[in-house]
Formats: sequence, structure tokens, C-alpha cells
Amino acid sequence: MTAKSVQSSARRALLQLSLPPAAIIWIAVGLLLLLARSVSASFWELSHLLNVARQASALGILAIGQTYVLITGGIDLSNAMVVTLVNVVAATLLRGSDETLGGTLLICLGIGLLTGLANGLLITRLKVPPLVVTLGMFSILRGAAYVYTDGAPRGDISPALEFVGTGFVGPIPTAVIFWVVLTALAAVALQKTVFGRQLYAVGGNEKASRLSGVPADRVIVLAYVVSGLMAAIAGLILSGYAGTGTLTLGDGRNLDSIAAAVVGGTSLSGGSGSVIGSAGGALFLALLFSFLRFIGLPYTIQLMVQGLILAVAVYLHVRSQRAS
Amino acid sequence: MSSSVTTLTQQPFSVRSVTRLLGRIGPAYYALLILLIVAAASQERFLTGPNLTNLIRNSTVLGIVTIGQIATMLVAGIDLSVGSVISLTTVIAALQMESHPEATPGIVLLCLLIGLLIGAVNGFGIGYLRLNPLIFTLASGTAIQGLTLHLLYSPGGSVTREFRELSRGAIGPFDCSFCPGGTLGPIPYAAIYLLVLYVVGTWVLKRTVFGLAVYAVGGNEASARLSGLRTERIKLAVYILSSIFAVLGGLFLASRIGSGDPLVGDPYTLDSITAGVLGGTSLFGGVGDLWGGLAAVLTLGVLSTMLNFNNVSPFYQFIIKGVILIGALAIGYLRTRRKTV
Repeated sequence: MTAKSVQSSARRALLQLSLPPAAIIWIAVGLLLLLARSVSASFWELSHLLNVARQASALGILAIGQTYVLITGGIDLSNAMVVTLVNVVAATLLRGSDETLGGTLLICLGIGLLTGLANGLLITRLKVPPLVVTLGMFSILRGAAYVYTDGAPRGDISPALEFVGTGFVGPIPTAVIFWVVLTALAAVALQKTVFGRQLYAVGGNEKASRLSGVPADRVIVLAYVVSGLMAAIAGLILSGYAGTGTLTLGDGRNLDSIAAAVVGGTSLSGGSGSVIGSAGGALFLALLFSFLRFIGLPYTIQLMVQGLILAVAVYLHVRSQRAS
Repeated sequence: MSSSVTTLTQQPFSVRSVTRLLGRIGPAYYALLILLIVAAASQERFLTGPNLTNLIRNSTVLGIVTIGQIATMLVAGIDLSVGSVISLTTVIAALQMESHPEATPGIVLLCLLIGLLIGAVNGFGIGYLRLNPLIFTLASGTAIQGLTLHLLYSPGGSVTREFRELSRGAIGPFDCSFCPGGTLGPIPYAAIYLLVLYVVGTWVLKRTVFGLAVYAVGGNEASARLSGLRTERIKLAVYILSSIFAVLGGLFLASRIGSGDPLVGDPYTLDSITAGVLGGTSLFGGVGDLWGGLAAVLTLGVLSTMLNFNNVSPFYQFIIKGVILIGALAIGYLRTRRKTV
């Protein structure tokens, strides 16, 4: 057999299996782990892998919200600045102690909720395209973070939040527990509830879903609210890890969350995607970076590889969609 | 209202046709006009030569990049890689000119070739492989950012003295290119670049077969293909143009800051999309033009000048920019809805 015929029969076999995209990314995670192991056994140590999972958790939580929004056919670029705003607000209010923790958490979650609500209402009521609304919101939130801190963030994160960002329950990092629980909840909500089915319906064909009685506007608003809330939670976890307020904590995380969702098989044109796939996408990206660092490639090369992987992922995704 | 009835029935050339004409003018022109009046009325310094020169020079990079961004938006695309291309250009120009100052023209050519190559990759992926433009240019932009940081991790290098003149020079009776802020009288080169690029760009878009094809592809890709247009090739050309304009913007920026900076281009990606949208170009393709984009670029420039004059913290600019972006499209929607109701 020539190489080409092997290739084509392998492809046919893959097509016949017709794996869901969510499964493909988890297989990719497994392959990456095997590759990493063959390079170095110490990469394979549980403590190291759990550390990678901890690094993936904030991205994974952001990707949950992004996935909901992408399924509706939208996009959320503002989540990165929710992270930054939550971070500087939390640091300023907490000032390193747990005294004001309850109120701070409420305010931070409120920021996420209100951002999502504003995004959703502007998109559904004023028919402004999601890209523009969330891009504008990104700018507004960035301004809010700068004005609030006057360009110089103050304060520190409290011990309780630091535990969430860096602590462990038994051997498992606290952040990972948050990620897993939120992913499980979001996956069940997506697959088993009316709201979840309506999300797919709205993203697949908005007009048809409206005609068949789906409250499309409310579903879309809710998706952005979920994304805002997830961004606030991710912001709190990242704050716990960073320990202080910084105006750059959210930078690039909007595009990273889109990348995680897309690598995990969520379509940018709406109507398809899964939270489990996006979790795989977040883990895959975190593993990849960790691996590249591990073999001594500098950050700059990591960025180049990230771009390449993303391009290949969309290419494969489009190919598989066309084949089916 | 009785007056509207009279205009409807009796006067063919009337208030109604004027309002219809005014309705066709995009929000960016109104915003620019109002801002200019307010600025000129509230600040006597605003209408002085040095200030206007500065305003033009500060708006040039965004003005140039927005041309390419609008072209991609016209074919229902988007180019998120322009910011990294700008950064890469400043880095290559500064590093190469520092080590080979005599080869400045060759270095400029090299930068343009790199732009051509990047645009070709973007255009191939989006046009021929039909990959999503948002995610594909995000991917290529990330890769280019990595490459840029690899070449130069923190700002450095320096461009040649002559090359600096490209952005700082001016022509006119009182030419004084080394005076701080220029002088009253001369026209900065920057204004000429912008004018030439926008005039030529508009001519290409409105008067050539290629330009009409761009609108056709953006308006309805399937019917454009069915009527014989090679949509892949048109998209390829549009993304090449977008990267080349980003390189031109990067060269101007390198000349202006005099060195290379691996992150300096970052804000221009979103700002150019903001300018395009504010200028009336649709994200869904087929609708828009360059002049609206230029009006939007200048609006943003006048706005930041005014805020500086009034000692408003520059941080508020982020908020105002966001509100303007969303507001421009929301007003457009409310206006069309009122008409149909």
C-alpha cells in the first residue's frame, strides 16, 4: 500500500467513526500527553499535570461562557476586561483581608452580571452586532478599570481568594474543583434543560426558533449573562493567583477563550458546540504551553505555535464539517 | 404636522429631499462636524497650525490601517492581524536601519514584501480554504506577534534620520521640520499621504472592476460567484491589501517614534474596526466607503485632542470610545426602525 492510500483509508475509517468534535479534542489531549511523556517522564508526574490543570482552569471557565455565546451565533470580546475590572475592584476593596469578602464577591459577580445583561440587551433590543457591542463594552470596561484605579491599582487579594487561586484540597488545586463543577453544571444545563436546547435552536436558525415559540431574545440575553458571570468568576480565581490588582490581568483572554472553544469543536457560526469540548480545548492549550515551556521554547515561540495550532484546528474543523 | 404634508404634496425640491440627503450621510460626519465646531469654539488653541498638524500626524497610522480594514469588512471579513503586522514592521525597520542605514529603500521594500506574504497567507486561508476570517487572522496575528517579540523583546533599534523626516516633515512657505510641533503654514507630509491614499483607494473601490467586485462579493457571495467573479482571488487581493496598508501604517509609525516597539501596533486592530464601523461600513459586507472611515478616524483624533485640552484623564477615552462605537450603530438602528414604523 502506498502512503497515500493508507492515508485515505485512515481518513475513511475516521469518517465512519464520525466522532463528535468534543471527543476529537480529548483524543488530542491524550496524544499530547503521550508525546510529552515520551520526551520526559517528569512531565507525567501527577503534581505537574494538576498544576497544568490549574493553569487551564480560569481559561476553561471563561470558555464555558464563551461557548454559550458562540452557540447562539454571537461572540463575547468583553470577558477579558471583566476579568481585569473584577481584579482591580477586588484588590482595592479587600486590601488584603477577608473582612469585606462577602460584599466584594457580590460586587464582582454583579459586575459580570451587569456586563452580560448590558451586552445581551444591546444586542437583542438595539440589534447592534455582537462583535461591536462586546468590543465597545471591552473599551468601556477598560476605561472603567483605569478610571477606578487612576491608572495605578492598589490593594491586595485576601487569603480566602488566594486559597481559591493557589490552594489545594487534598492533592487537587482549588481552582480545578471550581472549573470541573462549573463545567459539569454548564454541560448538564446545555444538554438536559429547555434553556440549553433553546440555545442550540436560536443559534441554528434564529428566525425558525422564534416562529416555533422560543423566546429568542431572552435566551440570547441569558447566554451573555452566563458569559459575564463566568468571566467574573475567572477574574476572581485569577486575582487569587496574581495576589494583587493589575490592569493587564485580562489581556488576550477573550481571544484565548474563543480559541479554546473553537479548538474544542464549537462553531463560530452558531448552533453547535459543547462545554465538554471547550474544556478539552482549554486543557489542550494549557498542556501545549506547558509542554513547549518544558522543552525550553521561549514564550515568543509559544505564541507562534499557538497561532499555528489555532489555524490548523479551524482548518480541520471546516474539513470535517464539509465531509459530513 | 401640516408642514410635512405641504412638503410631500406641493414642493418637489424641498425640506424632504434635503432631510433624505442628510439621512444618507453617515453618523461619523455628523460627529466630526459637531466635534470640530465644539472644539473650535471652546479652545482657541484648537485651530492653530501646530495643533492641527499634530492631530493629522496622530491620526495617520490609524487612517492608513483603516483603509485595509474597511476593504476586508467590505468582503464580509475582518483582519485581526493588522496590529501585529504594524508592530512587526516597526521592529524590522528599526533593527535593519540600525545595522544597515544605507539600505533604507531596500528595507522599506522588504517590509512591504513581508506584508504581501502575510496578506497572501491570510487571503489564501480565508479565500481558498474558506476559513473563518475572525479566527484565522487571530491565529496569524498571534503567530506574527510571537515572531515580532522573538526579533525584539523590548522597544529598541532606531530608524535613520532621513526616514524620520517622512513623518515629521512638511511642505509650505514656513517649512521648519525641526521646530517642535511644526509651524503655522506648512502642510505636513502626513496629510498628503492620507489624502493620496484615500483618493486612490476610493477611486479603486468605486471606479474599477476590482472595486465593484469587492462590493459584489461582500453583498452576496453566492451570486457574485454565479455571475463569474472569482471570489477567492478577490478575497486574496483584499487581504494582501489589508496587510500592505498595515505595513505602510507601521512604516509611518516607525518613522514617528524613531524606533521599533514589539507591542506598539496592538491597539490599532480594534481601533481600525471601530473606525470602520463608526464610518458606516457594515461588518456583514457590501456596504461602506473609505471617506466615512476617515471621518471616524479624525473624530477619534479630535476627541482625544479635546479631552487633552480640557485636562480630562485619558482613561475616560476608553469609555467614550466604547460608548461612541455602540451608540453609532444603535442610533443607526433606531433611525431605520422609525422610518419603517
